[in-house]
Amino acid sequence: MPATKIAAKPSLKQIGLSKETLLGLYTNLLKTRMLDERFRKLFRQGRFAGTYFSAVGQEATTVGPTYGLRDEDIIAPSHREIGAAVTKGIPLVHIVAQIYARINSPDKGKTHPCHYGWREKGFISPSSTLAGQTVTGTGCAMGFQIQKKDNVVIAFFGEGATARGGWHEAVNYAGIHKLPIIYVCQNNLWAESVPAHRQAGIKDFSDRAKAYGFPGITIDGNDVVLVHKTAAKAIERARNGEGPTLIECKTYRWYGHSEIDPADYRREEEIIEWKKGDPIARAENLLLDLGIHTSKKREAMVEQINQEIDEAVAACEKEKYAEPEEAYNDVYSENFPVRRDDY
Amino acid sequence: MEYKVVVPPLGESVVEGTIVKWLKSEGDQIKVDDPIVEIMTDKINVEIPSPHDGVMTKRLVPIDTVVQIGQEIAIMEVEGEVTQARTFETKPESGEERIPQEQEVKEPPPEFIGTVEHHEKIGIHADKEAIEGGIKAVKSSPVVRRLAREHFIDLRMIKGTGKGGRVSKDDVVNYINMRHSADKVKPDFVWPQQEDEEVIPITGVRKVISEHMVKSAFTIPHVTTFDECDMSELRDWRRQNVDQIEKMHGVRITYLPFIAKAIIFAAKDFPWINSTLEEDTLRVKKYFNIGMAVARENSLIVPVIKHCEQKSLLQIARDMRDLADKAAKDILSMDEITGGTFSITNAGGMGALGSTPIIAKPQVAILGVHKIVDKPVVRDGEIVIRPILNFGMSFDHRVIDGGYAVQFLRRMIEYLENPQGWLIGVI
Amino acid sequence: MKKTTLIEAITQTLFEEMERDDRVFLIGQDIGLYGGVFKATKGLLDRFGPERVIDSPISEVYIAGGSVGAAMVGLRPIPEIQFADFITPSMDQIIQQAAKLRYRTGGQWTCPMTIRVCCGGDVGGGLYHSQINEQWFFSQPGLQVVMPATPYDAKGLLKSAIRGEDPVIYFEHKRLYRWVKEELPEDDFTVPIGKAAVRKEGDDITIVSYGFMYHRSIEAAQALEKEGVSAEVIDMRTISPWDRETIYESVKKTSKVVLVQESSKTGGVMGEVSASITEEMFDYLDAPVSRVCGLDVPAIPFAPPMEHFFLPNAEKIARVVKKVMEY
Repeated sequence: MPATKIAAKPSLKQIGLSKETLLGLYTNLLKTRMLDERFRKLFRQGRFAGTYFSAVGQEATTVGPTYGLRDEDIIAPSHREIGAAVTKGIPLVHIVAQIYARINSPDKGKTHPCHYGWREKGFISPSSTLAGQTVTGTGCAMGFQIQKKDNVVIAFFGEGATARGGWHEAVNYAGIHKLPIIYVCQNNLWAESVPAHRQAGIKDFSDRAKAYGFPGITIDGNDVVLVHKTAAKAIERARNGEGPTLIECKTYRWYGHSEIDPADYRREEEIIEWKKGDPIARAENLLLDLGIHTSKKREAMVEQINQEIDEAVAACEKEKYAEPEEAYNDVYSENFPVRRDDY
Repeated sequence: MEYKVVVPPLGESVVEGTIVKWLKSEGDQIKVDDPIVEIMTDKINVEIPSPHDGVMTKRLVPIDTVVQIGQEIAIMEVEGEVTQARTFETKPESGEERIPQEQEVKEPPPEFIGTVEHHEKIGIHADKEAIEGGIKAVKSSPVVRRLAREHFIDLRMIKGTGKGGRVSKDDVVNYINMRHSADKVKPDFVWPQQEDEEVIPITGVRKVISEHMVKSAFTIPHVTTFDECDMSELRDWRRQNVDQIEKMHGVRITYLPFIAKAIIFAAKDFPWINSTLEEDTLRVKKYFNIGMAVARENSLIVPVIKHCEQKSLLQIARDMRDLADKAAKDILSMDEITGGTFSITNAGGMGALGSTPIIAKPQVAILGVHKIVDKPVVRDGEIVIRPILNFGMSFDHRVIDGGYAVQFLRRMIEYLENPQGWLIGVI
Repeated sequence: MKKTTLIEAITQTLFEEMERDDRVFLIGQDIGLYGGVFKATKGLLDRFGPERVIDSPISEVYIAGGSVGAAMVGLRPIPEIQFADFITPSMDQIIQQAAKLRYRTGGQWTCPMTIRVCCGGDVGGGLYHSQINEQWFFSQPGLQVVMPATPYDAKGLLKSAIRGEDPVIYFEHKRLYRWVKEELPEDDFTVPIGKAAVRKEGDDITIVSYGFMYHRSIEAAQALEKEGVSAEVIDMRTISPWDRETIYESVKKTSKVVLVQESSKTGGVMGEVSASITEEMFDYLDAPVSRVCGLDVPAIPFAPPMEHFFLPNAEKIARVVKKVMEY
């Protein structure tokens, strides 16, 4: 008689993470997703200017590594790291204000939507230059090493950014000096409209680490538990002075590069297939299976998060833009005011 | 409250989109996030979700309409107070669209009128010292300095209209144009003290006078009226006193101070004679700055005796003498040749019996004084010999009517013919 | 006749030049499958295939430097830099290779390529999608730099660039892509590199600009005309080598100059134009040569009030013109 294969219910022990950690990861995932979808709608409604870069579908790749970091640890992000921003603890109102470019945004409205940052929480306000923060983030790690601190840096970037020269210079340097940095590559298969196979001659981008002499690993980026555990191990290594790790998280962005990109270069089947592996649904199912979550609890969480978002959005929509003259601030330190032109 | 649905940003270079489909009708209940309308651009098709719960009250545009980013396309009624979506200006701020025209690069027209050769030919020569002196003294720009050197201009001769009295390029070009027109008309122009036509080389301060004259001659409709004055009494009085006065006061008095006084008295009844006309404004003067033309070698200058109404005959005579001396030495200041309210030109010194003088703009009249000649005139039915002075007064017919001028002149002559009544008060 | 937008003029030109000359090929990010983020290269992949319309990785160093190499062996590359903001990695290849190749090889090797660079603000692009950095290339002899303001010039200058023998940085202002329209001749035409256009004649003052700022300048000039100021408006079209003659002739006539540029004032193109006018045309000047420029801050800020504050506009230009007129 063939053995009946019964799917074993997982246990916390097997997972290797505490209930709190699992709930914490899940909460951040859910919050990130809800905020991201809200921003998409607000943009469509013409309620903020510029554009919006959604990270829906990729949440686990940013929430997983960020969860549990210290405030002093640094996130070197790109423009699709809303999950890291939420998880690292940038106040929600700052995130919304950044999108709305209001005066209460940490950047005073100067940059562009999705360029969140908050120094108190070790989150660098990024430039839009891809892999730009990978280079400066590596420099932060070099600084920590010189200062003999056991802080770490997590640099986030897409697979597309690894085609840039600066990326390679930074990663090479980290390999030489065993810098305390974790390189998290979010391979969402598309560099805007260019598929991964037109970006690199390798299949797994973690292979790039080989050339620089440190470990590289490719994982399912939509499994938040796996991502978190892999990153935690790499963080441990980094804190112990054992050097960098490159973690490639295979994932997928559900929508266009930005909200003005119809993403019609992708096949519909590909999108449907990837949506089946929704990282939030997977985490939720795991929690339900583990018996540490219920649909009732979920409803309460959703309601609470919605309320938080409502409040933050309402507060920011009431907030003003900075005065135009704000443009002259933060060019140099205060002893060097900018020459003003009176037109 | 009323909520206006606007077209959201649709991409960085996108200024407009097309309404493809309305997904809600007027009167429809709408839930937050329900798609309302589909908009298409050449980059993307998007459904615009409703920002609030509410009712669609009005659709403002039909399908297939091209709409601008930020344009209001529908009105909803929503409950409570909500923030209106901001619109974002990405459409042109003026005009529908920009349709630039290709234009050929064209040669600019000549920058100014007149050339060095031309000026040499008509006798305007470089007085380098004066030109450089002007450049040093006057606040001016590079192009003004260049023009001054090329056109032999003493910048002190030009009244600057720029910031802080700066002489601007326009000021210089106007000056050159004025001089150029003067150059062109010179052969037709009769200098007041000369009876023939002559081209006079003009340099230094005298240029100002000539240019003013020409400008007057060709912008003012001149009319000249003539009248004669019996100088018997005045001549007698003068003959009796002139030597004694000279001995006591050091000044030999001529007839001109008397004429100045007579003008002042007559102008009490005909005040417009003593005025200036600039554009549409006539300024009737309550004071008398009387210009008195002074003949010089081949030239003439009109120093101005200020406030004749406050001065005695003697003082006027002294001023005349002093100014004439300065004129001879060519050391008259700008102040001493400007600011006149009425002018006298004496062609009589050279023997003229009549002339039609040119008004010194912006004044409105000038009195030509001629040689006193003994003539037979009829008095009480008898022919007698009397010293007769012919006056010719030119006036600006834009503001002075013929009758007004004739009466003024007559009144002035009456004062001169009967000096006893007033002479004692002004000596 | 149908009006053509500036971006359509570019697409048309790429089609025509690729048809005309099979040495011409395109390389850049998202230009093939996607047709370009602004759709400037729409349809070209279908027509000419992936060997001549190459979707590159995110590798600006290579997009520029690889093109130099292809040009060296006889091709006519048209690399695209998606946003001027992201051209910085290419600088090494543009400055050290493209600009100096002819010079360092005694003319043996040349680099006939046209780098298309999408640039400019007033589109809500924020710090990293609004930059305009023509001055960096302007200050590097060996490069030609053009910035068309009209569809006609976009087409004519692009053709001249592609057919020329030198590396050309071809700036496309994204604000103008779909805003400016005009009817274009059907016949083949070019606009010479190095020649400015007097777009409006005037006697009182000369306004010089290029790109998007030309449109702001002409708006200002039209407004000033109603107030009795007759401004001559010159569109430089080519920034390097710039057309001294046309500008100088105008200065001779008007003696007053206002120079308008979108990028920051310090170190900008108009600083050089101003210095040259002062140096060579000093005796014709009646007022200080004045500039209206972007602010001297690191880039165009995003929030709309700040973005508008940064950018020169018709009102600012008119105010400066009046100030110069009153001088």
